[in-house]
Amino acid sequence: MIEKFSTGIEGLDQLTDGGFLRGSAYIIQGPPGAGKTILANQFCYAHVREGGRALYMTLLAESSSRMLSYVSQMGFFEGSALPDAMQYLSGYGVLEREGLPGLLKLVQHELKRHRATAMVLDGTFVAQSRASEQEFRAFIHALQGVAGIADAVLVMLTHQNRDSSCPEHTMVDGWIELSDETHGFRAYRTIQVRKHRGAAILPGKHRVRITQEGIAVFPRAESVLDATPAARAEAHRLATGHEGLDALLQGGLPAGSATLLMGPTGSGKTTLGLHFLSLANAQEPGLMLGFYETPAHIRQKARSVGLDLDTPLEDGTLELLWLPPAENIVDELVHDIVNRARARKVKRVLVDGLVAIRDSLVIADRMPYVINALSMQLKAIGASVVYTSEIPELQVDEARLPSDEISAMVDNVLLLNTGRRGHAFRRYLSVVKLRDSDFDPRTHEFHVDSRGIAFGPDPRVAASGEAG
Amino acid sequence: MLRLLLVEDEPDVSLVTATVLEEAGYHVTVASDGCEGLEIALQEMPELIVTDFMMPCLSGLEMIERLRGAGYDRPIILTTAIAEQQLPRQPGYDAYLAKPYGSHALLTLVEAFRERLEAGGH
Repeated sequence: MIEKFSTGIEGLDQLTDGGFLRGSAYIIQGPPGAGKTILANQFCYAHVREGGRALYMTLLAESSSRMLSYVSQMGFFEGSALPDAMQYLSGYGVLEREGLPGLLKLVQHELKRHRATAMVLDGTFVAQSRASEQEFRAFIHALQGVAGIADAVLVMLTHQNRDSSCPEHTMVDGWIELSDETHGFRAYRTIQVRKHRGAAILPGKHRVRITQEGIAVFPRAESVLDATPAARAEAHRLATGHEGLDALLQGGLPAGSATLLMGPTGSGKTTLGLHFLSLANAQEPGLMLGFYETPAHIRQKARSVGLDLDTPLEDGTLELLWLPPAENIVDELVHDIVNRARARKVKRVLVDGLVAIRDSLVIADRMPYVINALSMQLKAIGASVVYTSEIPELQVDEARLPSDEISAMVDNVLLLNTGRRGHAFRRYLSVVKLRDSDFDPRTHEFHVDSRGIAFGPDPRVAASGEAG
Repeated sequence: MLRLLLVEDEPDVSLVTATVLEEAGYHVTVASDGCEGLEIALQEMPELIVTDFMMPCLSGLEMIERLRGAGYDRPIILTTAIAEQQLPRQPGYDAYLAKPYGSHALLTLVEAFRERLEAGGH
């Protein structure tokens, strides 16, 4: 089995089934600014950290010192690796003076001199522009041979957008494309493994984020589902934090299930979710991801309805995450939630606001698949997840439930409805769907007071003679 | 006119540096890698060498080590983007100039060595 070198980027290792194959050649293609240089440097330093030796040769006229001064600001930079385990060289002068044969000789000599096990050739298009197509093909072939004999990984960077039929793409072992894309006013980066011999790749485009720490790749949540172990069938029930609701559900929500709380604004979805979270303890740790209310606001809200989130928060059995509903990378969110849940053996997860997730998706059609992927991954680690989803209509006609593709992807659906009778605003709760279980199908009116959700009409309404 | 050897593998950096030094009145010979630099230095015995660190064939430090071994005892300025404290021990060079450098920093350092040489010191 051929040894694999980590790319130094967890998500890219996932896409490439473990990283670059030793003795193989790869092309990383993308427009200027797409992150090729960062990716290649990140790979080199990760390789050096694992005991390898890397050589970074640039064919660009731009000084590698300038690049190095920029790279040295990145979190992955390891100054102590220079100049022994990690070397930067310019091949531009040799290419100018001696052409491709001279450059090939230089690569061969330097690979040997540095005993490099990984080499980056930055600006491959410069070499291509100096030769005919035939000469360039011969050069790539020879270069692969040189890297192969040295048993090194060769990574060639180019900004040229050449199609899949061009010689370098057919000859190399792998081809990775970085892109800068726009959708409306939104700009985003993607990565796609177009080719990787001898490896089961995660196909298609995946999101990329570049920060001071380097490149992070987030495989599309739904693309990693095959690698998710099937959830065990849990027989027990998980209390919702409301005894009346537990009775409707024959004891609570099935453990290891996904539940959708759907309803119009003000119907009590978040409050019901907080009931569920308030039972977080050492045996059943909790995690909440919210978008619209800060953790301080959530704590205050819980206190106002008599729910104690302070105790589990203080003893560390509950974690509140808050992300403003901006242009989040949903795949990063999914990755983060699952990792946090796994690390703390979380059993109770509340995601408050599917609208924010939908709005963050560049392609909204992915929504049900993303939610299915998140649910499956959480179930696989024994967690139960509750989602809240806002329905635009102020009052939902229960005879015509809104067609929501999410409800088909979850195990349980609870409808929280609102209505007006007389001069009073009222709330109603119905169980619409419960995984493999019987449930009380009746609609129950409820109100929210200082003790949380309480079944029955609001006593103030009853006192005013509006009850009925 | 002080004879200076510039050893630099990046053509643009080499061209700009040589121009700055020539305009300041130095006679500049250029080598494009460590092997060429070693050969020219031993042949022409320049009064001052300005050399890059990471270069093909021989690195700046390898070249300096061989030069010192061969008895070359004139000043050498090492230029590199690597921080000086991260450079290997036993350097053999007389001054360090961080890359990317400006013409003022370069000329100030070269001038200081010229004055020292003219005063008869190393």
